[in-house]
Amino acid sequence: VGLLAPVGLALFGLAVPLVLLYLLKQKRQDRVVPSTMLWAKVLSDIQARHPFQRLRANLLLLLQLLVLALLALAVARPVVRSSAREAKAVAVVLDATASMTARGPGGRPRFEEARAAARELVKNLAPQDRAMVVVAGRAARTAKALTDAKEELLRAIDAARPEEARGETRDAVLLAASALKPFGAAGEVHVFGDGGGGELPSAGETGVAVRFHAAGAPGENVGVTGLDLVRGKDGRVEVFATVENSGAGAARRFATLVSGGKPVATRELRLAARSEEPVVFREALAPGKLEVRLDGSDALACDDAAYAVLLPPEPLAVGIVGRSHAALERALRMAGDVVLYAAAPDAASFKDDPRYRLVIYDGYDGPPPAGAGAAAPLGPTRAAEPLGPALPDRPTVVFGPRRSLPGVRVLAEVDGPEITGVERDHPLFRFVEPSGIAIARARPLSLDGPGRAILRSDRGVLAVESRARRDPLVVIGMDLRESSFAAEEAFPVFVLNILHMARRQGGSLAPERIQAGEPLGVRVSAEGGEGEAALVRPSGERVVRRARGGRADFLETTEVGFYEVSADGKTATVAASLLDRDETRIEPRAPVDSAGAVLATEAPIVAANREVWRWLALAALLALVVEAWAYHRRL
Amino acid sequence: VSAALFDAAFLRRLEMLSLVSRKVFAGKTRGERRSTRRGGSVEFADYRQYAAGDDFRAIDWNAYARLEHLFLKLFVEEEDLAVHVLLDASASMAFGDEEPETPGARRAAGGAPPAKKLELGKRLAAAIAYCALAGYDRAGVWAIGGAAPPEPLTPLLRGKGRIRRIFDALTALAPREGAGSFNAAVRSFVERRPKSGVVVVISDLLDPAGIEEGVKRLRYGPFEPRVIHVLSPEELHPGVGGDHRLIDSEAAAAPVEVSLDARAVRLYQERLREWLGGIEGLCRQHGVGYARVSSDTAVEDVVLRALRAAQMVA
Repeated sequence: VGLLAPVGLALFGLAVPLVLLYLLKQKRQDRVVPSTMLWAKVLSDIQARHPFQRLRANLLLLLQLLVLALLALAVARPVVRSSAREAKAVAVVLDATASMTARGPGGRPRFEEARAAARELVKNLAPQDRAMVVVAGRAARTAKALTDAKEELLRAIDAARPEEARGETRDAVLLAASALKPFGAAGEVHVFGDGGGGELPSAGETGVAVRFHAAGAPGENVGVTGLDLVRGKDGRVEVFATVENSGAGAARRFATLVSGGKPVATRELRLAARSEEPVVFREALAPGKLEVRLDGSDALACDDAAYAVLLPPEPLAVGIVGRSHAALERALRMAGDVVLYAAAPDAASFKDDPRYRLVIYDGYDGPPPAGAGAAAPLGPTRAAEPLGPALPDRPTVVFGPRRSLPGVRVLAEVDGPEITGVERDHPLFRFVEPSGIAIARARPLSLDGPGRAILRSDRGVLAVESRARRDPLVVIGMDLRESSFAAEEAFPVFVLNILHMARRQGGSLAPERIQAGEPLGVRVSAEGGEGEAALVRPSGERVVRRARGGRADFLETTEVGFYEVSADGKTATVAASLLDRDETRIEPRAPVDSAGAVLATEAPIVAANREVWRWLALAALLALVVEAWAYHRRL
Repeated sequence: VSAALFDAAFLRRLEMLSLVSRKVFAGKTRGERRSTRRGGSVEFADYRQYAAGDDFRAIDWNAYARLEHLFLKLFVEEEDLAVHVLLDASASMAFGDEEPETPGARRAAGGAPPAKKLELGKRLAAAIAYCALAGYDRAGVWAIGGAAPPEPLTPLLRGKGRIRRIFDALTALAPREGAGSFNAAVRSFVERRPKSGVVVVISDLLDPAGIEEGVKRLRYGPFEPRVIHVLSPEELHPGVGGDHRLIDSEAAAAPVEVSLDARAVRLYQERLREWLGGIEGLCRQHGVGYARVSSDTAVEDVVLRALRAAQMVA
């Protein structure tokens, strides 16, 4: 037997005043009797004149003390367990990604189901057990560190909210496992979710047991999983959307393009089960808010619309430094609205020339020999400078670096690395499948400062995004000429993603489009880059943050819709959409770990630790009835 | 109290009853009781020598023939008996009409309707007086108890026709105020030199000073005392419950604060048994007739059963 709220036992302290009431002489009712002769003889002890009387065994007092004890015990919330065991350390990982907002047949979000199961697990813990709560949203977050205070754990679980964003459960499990490692076999990670959120780490990686508790039921869902805008040469805008039906039955939906709050065009979609259809709109649109919205409602609401902001037409100037690969140039030209320049690696020249919004170093080995001509002259060429710390203050992509860059260390060359993993939620690898790329040689990379590893191989990280400076720096550790990447079908998409990144960051206040949950960086120039920036969420909530180093990062982007950012006296609109196939596919599934093993789904949690306060309260009520009966029978 | 309360059948049964008197008292007029005097009954009592002036019709001539001396035959005189009924009319006797507080007390009361002790006392006094009058004895009723001295409600009356006067006197009797002593009341009664005879005391005997002196004074004086001890059901079986400040009806003692729980009542009953045993033992020791009755008992039952069992009437 254990107590969930031992402080409740303090209620029994009321026994002291209760006994005092019995010790105090009661106010008595006058009653005339024929003679007090016999009473005076018998009850001389009752006639004592002290304020307190001797405490005698009194049935009413005993019953009242029993009622009080039962109530105090009930308030302390005792639990009964069938057997004693050693203390455990448990991590509760709550999947809080977008698919967890899907509603079941009863209209109950599956996150509520997962939350209820997690609560049951915590309530069933023995008093000696400790637990922690990790919320797996866009980023893993420890909602409650290891503690044996069940009430605090339950409060943390209750406070958790699902996000309208994709997320990786893997990071949350690794975070939890790292906290439980000291407990060895006594540590357990319990994941409560629908099996989405990517693969889980293997048992070898975690070092503790990982158990999965399934939440949710299969449901019908149709969602927008892709959205791109391309401005044609005729000024019309092509809107490419991808709509996926993840349900088991066919679906008929209408997709509507909304511009500036007004519907512009509608397409009828007939979607087979578990299929996707492209939707293309070609319209003359004014710059501003765009939205592709599906009619009707289904299990998951946050993927029923995708949002974008159409910027005024402006050609993107791209400077290429080095021996530019033909496939790279072809892909850049295909994107349209792009002006290419063969640029010299002169940081000063980029500062002076505002045309460049993206600089790509490709096959650049250092300062070229004088007059050698590193690449075909596509535009004005400046004097060469070594590639060094003075990178241009523009979004920059470097393919196959030979030496270290700001925030990125370039390691020794390795032969034949094989790609093992990719950060699929990174904007550069959206819709890009790199697993088939053959690499002859590459130089693994290591981050020296803030940033993110994007592409992993069995020999090390092959692509990183450094955030050591204000503008993003993406470094790919392989030369396009020493891998099959440029020949892959995914390469043009990758280049489009690069251009998209450049458009988002190239000199504007903030990117005009992000994926929900993605950190939103806002450029701030005021007060030497230390001024304030403000963000208004789609729900109307306003967040103000002070910038550091010319950039204010907002993590409060977990809602889909339009955000308003303001800084330096300027404002901009940012569209956030889910656009994730994994989240749109809401069918619950057993997760797979990185070793390929399918995790078994745990049986529903049975309340092994039964709370017995209701029975105690009932017993107190019965004792109260007996007390009332005894009083009236004057026992 | 009125004659109507005694139905005809009960009155006839009373007429058939006779008060038992072990002692022989000198009567005032002829009656049906043996007297200490010699008289004209048919029951031979003694001889004595003839003296001049004696009625020669009483000379036993057979004895003269044998002994040549004149002897007179003496016969027992039959006279009436004086019956004094001392009815306690103190404030404590006015109790007994409360509704019993618990079913247990009601059961203990035999389910009979509650009655004041004084009411039962009046009926008993009337019944005993009628019994005496019907047996050609003389009966008188006294009120004792309270702060006032004993008061004769009626003089010694003779003849059934006088029972109405006794009834009226008893009906008019109200509880007497104040606290008094049983012993003092008896002393005062004896000092007023009433006619010797049977004294029937009807009382609850709730006197902290006891009753021993009074009983002895009657027993060893020219009286034959009888004690009818009347108690109410709530005195015999007090109810449980409540915290009370008990106030003596006669203000004879300080109030007693008591919680009427089961333990207190148990102790009370132990004390009650002890007290009743003491009174009964005292009466038995001194040859005083004793009967204890509950105030909720019908007067017929008291007379025909309890008093018969106590050999007060026959």
